[in-house]
Amino acid sequence: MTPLADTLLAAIDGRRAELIALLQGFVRTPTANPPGDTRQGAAYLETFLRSCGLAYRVIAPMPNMPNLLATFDTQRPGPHLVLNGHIDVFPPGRDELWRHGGPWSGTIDDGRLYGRGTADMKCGTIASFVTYALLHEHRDQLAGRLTLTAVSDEETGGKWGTGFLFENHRDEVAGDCCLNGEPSSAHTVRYGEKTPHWLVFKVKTRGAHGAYVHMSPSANKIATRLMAALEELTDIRPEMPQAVARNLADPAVRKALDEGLGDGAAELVQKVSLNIGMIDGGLKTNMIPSECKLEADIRLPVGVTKQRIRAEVSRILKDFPEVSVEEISHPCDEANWCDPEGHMLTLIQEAADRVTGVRPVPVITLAATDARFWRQSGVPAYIYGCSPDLMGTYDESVGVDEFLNVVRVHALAAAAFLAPEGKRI
Amino acid sequence: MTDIRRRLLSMIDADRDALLELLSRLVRAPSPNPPGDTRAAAGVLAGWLDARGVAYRMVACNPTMPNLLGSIEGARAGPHLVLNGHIDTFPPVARERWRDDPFSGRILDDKVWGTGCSDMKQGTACLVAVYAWLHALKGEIGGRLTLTAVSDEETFGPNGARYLLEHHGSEVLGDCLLNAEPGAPTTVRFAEKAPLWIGIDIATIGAHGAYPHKNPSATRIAAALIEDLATIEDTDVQLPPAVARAIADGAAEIDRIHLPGAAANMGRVTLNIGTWNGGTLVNMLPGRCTIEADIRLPWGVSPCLMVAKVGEIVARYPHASMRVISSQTPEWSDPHHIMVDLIRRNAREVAGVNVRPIPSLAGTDARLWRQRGIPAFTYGTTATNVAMPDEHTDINEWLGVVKTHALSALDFLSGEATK
Repeated sequence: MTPLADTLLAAIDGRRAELIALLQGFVRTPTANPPGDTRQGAAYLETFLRSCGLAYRVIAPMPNMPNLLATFDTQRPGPHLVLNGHIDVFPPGRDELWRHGGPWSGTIDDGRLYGRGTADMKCGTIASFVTYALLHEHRDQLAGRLTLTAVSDEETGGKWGTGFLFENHRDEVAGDCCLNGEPSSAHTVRYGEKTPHWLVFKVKTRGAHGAYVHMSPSANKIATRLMAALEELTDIRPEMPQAVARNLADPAVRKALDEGLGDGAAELVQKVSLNIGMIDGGLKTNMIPSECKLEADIRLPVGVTKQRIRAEVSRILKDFPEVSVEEISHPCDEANWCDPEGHMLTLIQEAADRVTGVRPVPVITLAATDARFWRQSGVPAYIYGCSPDLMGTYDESVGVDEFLNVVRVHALAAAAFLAPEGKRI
Repeated sequence: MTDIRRRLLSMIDADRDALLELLSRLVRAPSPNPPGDTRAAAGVLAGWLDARGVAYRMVACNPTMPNLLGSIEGARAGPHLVLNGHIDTFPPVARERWRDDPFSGRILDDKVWGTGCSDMKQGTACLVAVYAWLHALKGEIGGRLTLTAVSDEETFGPNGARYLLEHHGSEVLGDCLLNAEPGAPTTVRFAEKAPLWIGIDIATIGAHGAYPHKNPSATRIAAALIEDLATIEDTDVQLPPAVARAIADGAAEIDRIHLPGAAANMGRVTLNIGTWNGGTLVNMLPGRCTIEADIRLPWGVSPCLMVAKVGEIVARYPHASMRVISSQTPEWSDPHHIMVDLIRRNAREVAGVNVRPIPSLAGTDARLWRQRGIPAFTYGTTATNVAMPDEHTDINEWLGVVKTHALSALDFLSGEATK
């Protein structure tokens, strides 16, 4: 009998055009969040499941944000693997700045497929769906149980998506391990992530006519000083767990981070980062602004708790009596991680090595994903996907072969995880 | 005091309550600009003139922004005086911090309250009333008196004063302009700093917010640029001697009225970053950011020079580009003009106030007359909470200003000053 791994790879090769078209169609279905209406995206994926004869449920606590849940049991004892991907994507920005026919074009040019969400994470979500369908076809050669979750609102915190599933369908979605196709680059598998700590600062002053600059402090000027002062947060030193510290000291890991995420990434993983995502100050050119709102996206590394950052922010704000702060990210999330030497991690490395010739190293990621829901519940969750280089930009795209490799690695790693006791696929 | 001056003052006293009601109603007819729909407020002013049988025209190149224009010919030859006030106001600021509705027009504690009450509904109401009283005396005065109540001073006057000067120049230019913008009744303004408005746009490629090392952040570039722009405030300024002397002589009064620091700011370049907007979503590295700078130039600093200076700073930031939104040259009128003398004399007489000629920090439509070589002066009540919550006007102070305007206009048209 042909080993299952070979069968799966052959199936993927045989369906190459079909799989590319599947991703392309998904990219052409706008699912920007905000506003976050993902009904068309979910319907597109449902069509795929139905075409494969697969059962699924729609769980939609918010009618315009449906989640899809599918599961099959092999009836043989074994672990429960959960695949997770999100349907929503970043907003497209300004249509005319896209160089390949607008944000939803799905244009393929020189081997790359362009559009908002191609990298984050329509490539990965399609990999989960294809993996689920392929493993279902070959479920007679597998053990345990496989669950597929496609969620609606990862970009805005996951309250009505993965968060809702964990609160209301925990037994079905927690499983023993989670595999997720968020962007990671071929060089890395992500076993942990920093946590976002989103703060809204409001600067309030008296305001005045703009010609009387001595009459009132300017909320905008205070905001520039506040931005400079907040940079101090990036100097906080984390207290890393030993396994994570060991992993982050590994030169191979550092090299992979810098290669995969751009120079400086290895440092950034261990640091508090600060992005002033939004600023909105003043009503009119010739008025001294009496209000300025600043939204900060602070990312905490493993080893820096939210409690600690809150204390630091309070200390900084002692010098800014005009400023108030409000937390808008989930107050209970923390930077999270699972075993950088875990079983699934090894399986992903082996699969990737076979498919791409690159053995990805375990890393902590900069961006938050829904994988945190699993890790915070004590379930290991690993991420393997395409390059994150162009996500969020006007050139967002994924290489067609890169996409197919993500599908291959997911299918092989999932099949290996569900291999019957004592067997290798 | 001559008989006609006495009669004018008793007309004002008789109209006292009606005048307060006019100001209150004018405040209750909101005219924030933007958006700049001044029809309701113009209607209130028109009602005052209609009730007194005073003719005027509504001139509206933009239907939602009408201007009131009227002229009276005196009984004999004489100079042409133009009165100018604006109907529009700043948008209301921080509604939740007002003690009352921002458009209440409430009369309480000897004050009238509301957005635009000080800047400058008190002044425009004053000038419309002065125009109507002098209309009643037109058989006894000389020269010519023109009233302009305009719709869009807050946005530089393309539909208001500028439109009137460009299309009805012979009617509205005159020999002297009298304006009642707020300042303080102890000062008459013969000059004003010139606003230079510059927009700066920053565009970068953007990225996911967790990757701040990948691309430059537009908001961060903007913050650095704002810090850098502050250096234009150190520009070396050579003031014309007459202006420098007025600032030096009036320094204590300038600081008393406009709070300490005002006299120093009078003779230097100042910078206000009025608006600052950037980003799309908190967790995206912002790919765009826009700031709007309000720079005020003192006399002797050319806008071209300042644009070049700002351009040099902006050029240090490859992702930033600039555009000039509005640019003006700072102008001044003779601080020893007859109108200044009349205002000083009349303010002392009716309100016991000593008035000094000083320049002004803020811009007004008076600049448009100065730019055309016409001496222009502003005299008004104290600017109380302009562009702040609880803007208001003190009633007694205002009545003194009203009388000073009325008498000064009358004197000017009667040739009183040359006697």
